[in-house]
This record gives sequence, C-alpha cells and structure tokens, in this order.
Amino acid sequence: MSYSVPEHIHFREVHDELMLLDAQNDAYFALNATGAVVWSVLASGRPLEDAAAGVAARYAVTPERAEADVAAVVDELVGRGLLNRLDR
Amino acid sequence: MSVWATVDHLLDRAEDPAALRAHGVQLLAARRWRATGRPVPAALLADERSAAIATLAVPVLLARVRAALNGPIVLLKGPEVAARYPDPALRPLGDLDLLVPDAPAAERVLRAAGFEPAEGEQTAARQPHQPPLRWPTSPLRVELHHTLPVPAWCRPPPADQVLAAAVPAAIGDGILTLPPAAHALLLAGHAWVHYGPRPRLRDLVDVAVMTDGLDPAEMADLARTWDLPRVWQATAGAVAALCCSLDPSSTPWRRWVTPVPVIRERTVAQEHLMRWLGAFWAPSPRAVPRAVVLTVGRDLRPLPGEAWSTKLPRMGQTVRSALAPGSRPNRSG
Repeated sequence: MSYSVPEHIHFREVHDELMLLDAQNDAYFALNATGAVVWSVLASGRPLEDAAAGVAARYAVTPERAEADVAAVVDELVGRGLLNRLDR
Repeated sequence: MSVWATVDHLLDRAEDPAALRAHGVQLLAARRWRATGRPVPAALLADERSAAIATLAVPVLLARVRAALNGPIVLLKGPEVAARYPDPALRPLGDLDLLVPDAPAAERVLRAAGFEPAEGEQTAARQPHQPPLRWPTSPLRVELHHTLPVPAWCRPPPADQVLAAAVPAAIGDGILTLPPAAHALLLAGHAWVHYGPRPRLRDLVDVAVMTDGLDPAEMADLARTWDLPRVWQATAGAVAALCCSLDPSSTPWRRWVTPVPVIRERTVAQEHLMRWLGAFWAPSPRAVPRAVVLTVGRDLRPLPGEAWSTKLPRMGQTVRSALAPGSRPNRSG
C-alpha cells in the first residue's frame, strides 16, 4: 500500500507539527507530532510499515500499538483528502 | 556583522513576548530561542502556527484576486519582503497590500466575486487604501491601494508610473511588485507614517533585506525625488547601525535615530509622539509646518463619516491610556 500527496495540498513544518492547506476547499489542518511523522513518511513515498516503525521508535510503544495508531491516522488523512491511497 | 546576527543578539536579550510582537519579530525570536535551547512560550508557538498558515494562504489568495481582476496588480510589502527572509514564515503577515489602477472599481469587482468586508479596523478609514476585504475562508485580508502608503507630505511617484515600472513579484503568477529600490523607500516611508523616527525592529529588518546589494547613492537620489531625503537618511543610518556598518559622521542618525538596544514595547503616548515628530523630517524647513498639520491632523480629526460625538470619547480613552502599552486592546485614537 502506498500513498501520495494530492497536488492541491500544501504544507509547512512548524517545529514538530505540520500545517496543511487544502487549496481546493480552502481548508486548513494542523497535524500534531504523531500525525506529522505519519504524513511525512507516507508523503515521501515510503510504506505504511515505515510510518508505524517511526511512531513505535519515537514514542516507545509496541509495534502493534503503533500500527493501530498509524492506521487510524491514515484513515483520517485519506478521509479528509490530505493523502491519496494509491493501491490496495 | 549581518542584520541577522544583530537581530539574534537583540533577541537573545529579549524577554517579553508582547514587546517582541510590538516590534514584529516574535517569529524570529521563536526560531532563535529554539535554536539556542531556550524555552519557547506557548504564545509564540501559536504565532508560529498562524504564520505558517498565513504563508500557505498567500499564493491561494493572490490567485483568487488575480482571477477576479483585470489589469496590473502590484504587491506591496508583506510577502514580497518575506521572500527575502531566511524563511517567509519568519515575517508576520496579516494582509495583502495591492496597488491597482482603480481601487474603488477593483473593490466592487472583488466583492462581486465573493470577497466580503473585513471586520474591525476603524483606523483603516484613514489609510490610503479601500476598506479591507476578506475571502471568507482565508486568514488574510486584502487591502487595495490607490497610492503608495507613505507620508502625506512627500511626493511618491503617481500610481500610473508605479504600475508602469513594476516588475514580476517573487510569488503569484501574473503578480507584479515594486523594483527593490522603490520598495525599500516604500517600506521606510510606510514605517515613518506609523512610527516616525522610532521604527519597529522589523521595519529596519525589512529595509535591510530589501536594500541588500543596492547602491546607497542611488537610494539617496531616489529618496530626493520622493521628497523623502531626510527620512531615508535617518532610516538608512539606523539600518546601517543594525548591520554594524554605520558611518559615525551621520549626524541625523546619531542624534535622533538609534538602533534598538533593547526590544521594548512603546506606550500609546510614545507611539503618537513619534508619529507626530516624524513630520519634522519633511524635506525642507519650509515643508515642516504643512507636514505637521497633515500628520497631527490625521490623528486629531474624526475618521471619515465619524461624528465628533464619537471621536471625542475615543480621544479621551487614548489620553487615559497614554502610559499603557501600545498593543493593549480597547484603546483607540
């Protein structure tokens, strides 16, 4: 499973957070540190597993917990149009 | 020493977020403090988030204005200056100042396209621009100018000359801006309107980044054509001091305009006094009386459409809050 950033989504890093603009819908989003890690990993073309590994390492949680958290974040990012899910 | 090194030195000695905001350098402070391991207050973190969003919003809003308006659009100050900062999001931004051939007509077109009047800003009525507009979902306002926002007693080039000499802007497809020398003069003049011979630190930084690489003699010549020679001399001297390359023989600088030794917020009284004193930098002694009348009268007169019955209580509030910090809300003049 891989992901991409829609062309109309623009972003800026602010410390360990991420500000996102959906230029198509004039909507702004703020991702906290966890969301920023997940989004950045997936936006760079790396797989979901890397995002989970990043979260597990950063927050010292089990891989299973990290995978569940990341899956929830990804569902929300895709649901809000901030990421495109490219294949299943 | 570069302007950024001096600014960092000043920021290292700063304490008060309100004073940093008053000088427009709170974002630079947040970056500096974080880089040097100093805690960044929550208020400045919030400012950083707002600045990031504003920076994201600029090209989107410019595109929306460009799509609605025909003819040249000249971007003044704001994002064009920010593009010369190490990161555009380090310069606070609240609006897009746009010079257009017919500002009232442009306002009508933008309102028909969905722009709405921006709230607040009573004093906007005094400004050389139409009442500010806002796109409903944008954090930024749009201010349409019919002339350059410099002291009323000087002679900037007329709008048609400005439009003819405009160059492509750093951001925004089909958006123009002033050439750097004119832009630097605009920044100095605009700061003088609001702050007289005591500009904010950010105003000096703006002029410094815009004049980087420009010929000082050409700047002085251009300032003379705008009737701003003494304003420019004072501002350039302060900028030179900021960059630690000052000429100690520059008498006006030495007497009146000093670099910012400590970032401190001015009081309401100081803000008014500095603004009025700025008139004494009119191009000649003969021009000073008119400049004083224009400058002081601007503050003492009611706003367009305002009755004295409203203006006088506002003046009383200003007098009562004379010693309050200039950024305190609920003070008006």
